[in-house]
Amino acid sequence: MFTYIAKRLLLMIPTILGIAVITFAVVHLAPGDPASLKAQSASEALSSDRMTREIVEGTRALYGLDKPLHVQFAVWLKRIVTLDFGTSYRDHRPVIDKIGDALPITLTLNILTILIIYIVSIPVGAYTALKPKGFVDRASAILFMALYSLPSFWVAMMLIALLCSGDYLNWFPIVGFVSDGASILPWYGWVSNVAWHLVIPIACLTYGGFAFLSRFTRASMLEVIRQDYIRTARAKGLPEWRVAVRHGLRNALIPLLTLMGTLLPALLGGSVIIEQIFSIPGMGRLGFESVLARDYPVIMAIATISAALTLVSILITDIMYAVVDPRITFGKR
Amino acid sequence: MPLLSVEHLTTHLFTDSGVVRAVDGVSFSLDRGEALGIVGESGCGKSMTALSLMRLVPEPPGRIVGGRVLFQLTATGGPVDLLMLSNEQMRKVRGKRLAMIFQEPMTSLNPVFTIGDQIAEAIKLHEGGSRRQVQSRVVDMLSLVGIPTPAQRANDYPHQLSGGMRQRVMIAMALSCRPEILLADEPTTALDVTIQAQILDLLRRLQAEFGMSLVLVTHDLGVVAEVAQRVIVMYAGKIVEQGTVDQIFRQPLHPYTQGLLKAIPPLAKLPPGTRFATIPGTVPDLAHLPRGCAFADRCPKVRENCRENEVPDDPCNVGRLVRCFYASNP
Amino acid sequence: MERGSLNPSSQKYSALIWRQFKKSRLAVICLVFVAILAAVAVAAPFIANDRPVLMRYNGSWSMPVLKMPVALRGVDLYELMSNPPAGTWMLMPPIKYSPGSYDLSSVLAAPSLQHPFGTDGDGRDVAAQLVWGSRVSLSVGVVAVGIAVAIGVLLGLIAGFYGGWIDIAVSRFIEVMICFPTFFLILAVLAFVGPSIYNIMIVIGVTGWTGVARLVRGECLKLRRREFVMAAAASGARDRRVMLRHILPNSMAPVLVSASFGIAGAILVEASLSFLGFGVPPSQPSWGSMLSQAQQFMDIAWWLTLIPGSAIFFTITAYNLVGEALRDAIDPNLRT
Repeated sequence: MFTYIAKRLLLMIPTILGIAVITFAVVHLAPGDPASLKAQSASEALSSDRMTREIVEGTRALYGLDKPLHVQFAVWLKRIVTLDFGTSYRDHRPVIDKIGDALPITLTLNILTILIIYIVSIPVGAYTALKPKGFVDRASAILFMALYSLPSFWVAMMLIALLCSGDYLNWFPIVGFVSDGASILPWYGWVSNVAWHLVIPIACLTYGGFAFLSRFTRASMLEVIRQDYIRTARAKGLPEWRVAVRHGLRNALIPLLTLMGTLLPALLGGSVIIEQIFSIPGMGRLGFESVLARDYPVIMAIATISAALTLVSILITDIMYAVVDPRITFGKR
Repeated sequence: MPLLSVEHLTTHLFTDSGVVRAVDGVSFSLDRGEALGIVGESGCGKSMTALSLMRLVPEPPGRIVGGRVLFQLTATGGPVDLLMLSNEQMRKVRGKRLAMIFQEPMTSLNPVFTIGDQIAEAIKLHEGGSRRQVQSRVVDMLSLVGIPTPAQRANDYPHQLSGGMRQRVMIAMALSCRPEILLADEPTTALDVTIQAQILDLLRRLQAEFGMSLVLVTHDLGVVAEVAQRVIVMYAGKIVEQGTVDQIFRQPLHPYTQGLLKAIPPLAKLPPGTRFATIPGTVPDLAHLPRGCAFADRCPKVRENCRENEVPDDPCNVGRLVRCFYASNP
Repeated sequence: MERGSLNPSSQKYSALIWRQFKKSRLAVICLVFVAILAAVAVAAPFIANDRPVLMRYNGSWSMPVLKMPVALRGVDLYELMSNPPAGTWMLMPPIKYSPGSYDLSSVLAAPSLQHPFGTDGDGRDVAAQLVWGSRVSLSVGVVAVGIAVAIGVLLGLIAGFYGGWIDIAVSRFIEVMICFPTFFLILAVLAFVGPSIYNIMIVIGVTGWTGVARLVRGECLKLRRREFVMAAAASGARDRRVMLRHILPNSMAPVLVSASFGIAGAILVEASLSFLGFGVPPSQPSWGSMLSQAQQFMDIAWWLTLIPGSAIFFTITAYNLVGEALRDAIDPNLRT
């Protein structure tokens, strides 16, 4: 087990290097001297000589742009490893602090979203595999496909108008992660306040995921129930539901695990727009505001940290995979 | 009174290219303690016959469309038609009275459970008992099928065992509730030759020990000769010849049976360049069978009326089922 | 039977897929919808314009939609239209407004005969914007996916074909790419290079190729293995040209599925970017920016939200359903 994890960690190193290369490349995307170009665009936004100069110098220092390319890369790599992403142009707070505030909020949002997607999709997918071409199969396929095709920002707009604005109903708050002053509430009050704020955003983030995951479960389950060991289980005289759940679903869920890691980047991307609409102070909103303000240190840090986070979640699912599937033995692969 | 009598069992597969008559009016009986071999080329309906007895025909595309499977379930009462039982009643027969093992020991065990778990599941289901009792039954069964250090092996996962060991586990699982009939569908086909003999030996020994009946489905006449007392030869969903092992091997009367026997490579050393005898042609498309005898196109003795008339069970009155108008010694 | 055993480049294979595809009536409807949409996008100037498609003025014919005739320079077209002199004849497009023409006399007009989908806060005709907006959506969708498919096929082929360290490098690269939250990466890159319709196409394409690359690589490996066995049996050398001829057609169908879903995704990304104000410049109408502007009028002008949103929804649904039907059509497991 330990050697397996160690091995997987070692295998992560080239990927982290790759992430560093890509983020590094993004910084250098702008033609010409990046620092002055950035300062130029920033000056349009800020129109202040002092700040322009500050940005030029800040960018130069941050990326070591006056140094040769390989030195620049080494500097950038060192920043990634030490999690030193400099300070924000906007409020001069250390970037890592800003991310430290935003990350737990986004993770809460996304982990809840993933959980709900799985809780809804797995039973539906398994059931439709057992009764293919039945009513539930057809109905859920069409419904989930329609949901998948609904742009979340459009749905968010309409839900706000309908349920939050007070024009029609006023069931949920429009914005934020938690009410101001909620910190004086006891913990359960705080939790329910957060939950109340998150109902609509999470609804907007989840519904699109049902189609993919339920179809994936269905395909996986269809594959499994064709296997010989399902016939063996039936030949033992096991009741059909037990064959389906214990022998079928248990095996069908294994490939679903691997998806969990790769779902995260899609959701992190998706939560940019939802966090922006609902003013939830998470990574997505921070990222978008930084993009608007050309706050490069924050942008780079978010891109890097999100990618690293995905890497970690892939690692966790891989380990879970090995725990669940006895065919994968630790250490020797 | 036979333990099991099958009457006009008919199973069809409803595919896009037509209705495949996989099992086409098959009748036979099986006595208590008897070993019956069902032989034929692949696709002749022999496995589908066994699956029909278990009511495990994959559905869709398959469905049992007719016939009766009469099983003497109680010592005193009359036989019960398995095809008429509710799913729930049939479930209680499966694994308990009528068990089955399959061709592929590699894929027939669930990879994510230990073999002990998988055997215990059947025992718990049909007989109950405390954890400890079930566990000791599992270990007993494993040692009965010749697995060394059974108590430790019970915690192994299928992938940790060899093919022969897995087939032993399958046998242990099937026999764990002491069924009266064991259906073995090509139990040795996927195994190495040396292992094949061991497994056949085991089956023979356990059959005697348990006093159970055995239906052995195989394409290998040698396997049948070793284990069975009576043989059914199937072709294109129908039984073409039935008899004792002696009759089939010494006096095959159907041209198809004769062809099968000729196709067995002799044990004696062959001079180089010798060709194996084969039956010319291929199995006909079961969805579009010709009129008359299905074997007509490949038969060396074919005559005009073979292609026109349905062949009855014993047209030549030889005293057993030989579905041929021109049944004779080769 | 395995899919590959049928020669995929043969007429029979594509006919088989088409026959299977046609079984879903919904998918065929969606395909027709996609075709109509493409036609609308191409013909947008002839559908929604404030200039006549065809006109006769002072005895000469012209098509002002394409090019304003010299004779009309300096002539007030609006005046001409409402008060045509004798001998003037003109054929107007079905929607008599261009997306940029302001009509301050009818601001936020509800749908009516004159404005079938109403007007927006600046008095612009929603239907005209919708028609022109389809150009942005479709061109971004098609071009971005074209770029993604080109990169994906190329890298997938190289990786699957040469194997070894090249394969390892490409596979690692794919792994790195899928770690990034795509939408944020797109935003970030656009922050550096500046948003324009071309940049959006390129960025979506450059970040969206991983699926195709994996697909082609897998197909390549599968075939190489089989070809290897065949070659060993025939004791002949592996012919790369033959392999390529097999791989490309073989992966065509799954790539097409991926492309169909990809177009839907790219359209959604473009709409989201425009919604966030990061899309095409405001001079070009786009469905996303229409929604963005609709936000302030949600409580008084429902059509501003409902209509562009529905356009996005139906377009994405159509592409997704076409993709799904195609995927089902090439799945040999569903074929009995």
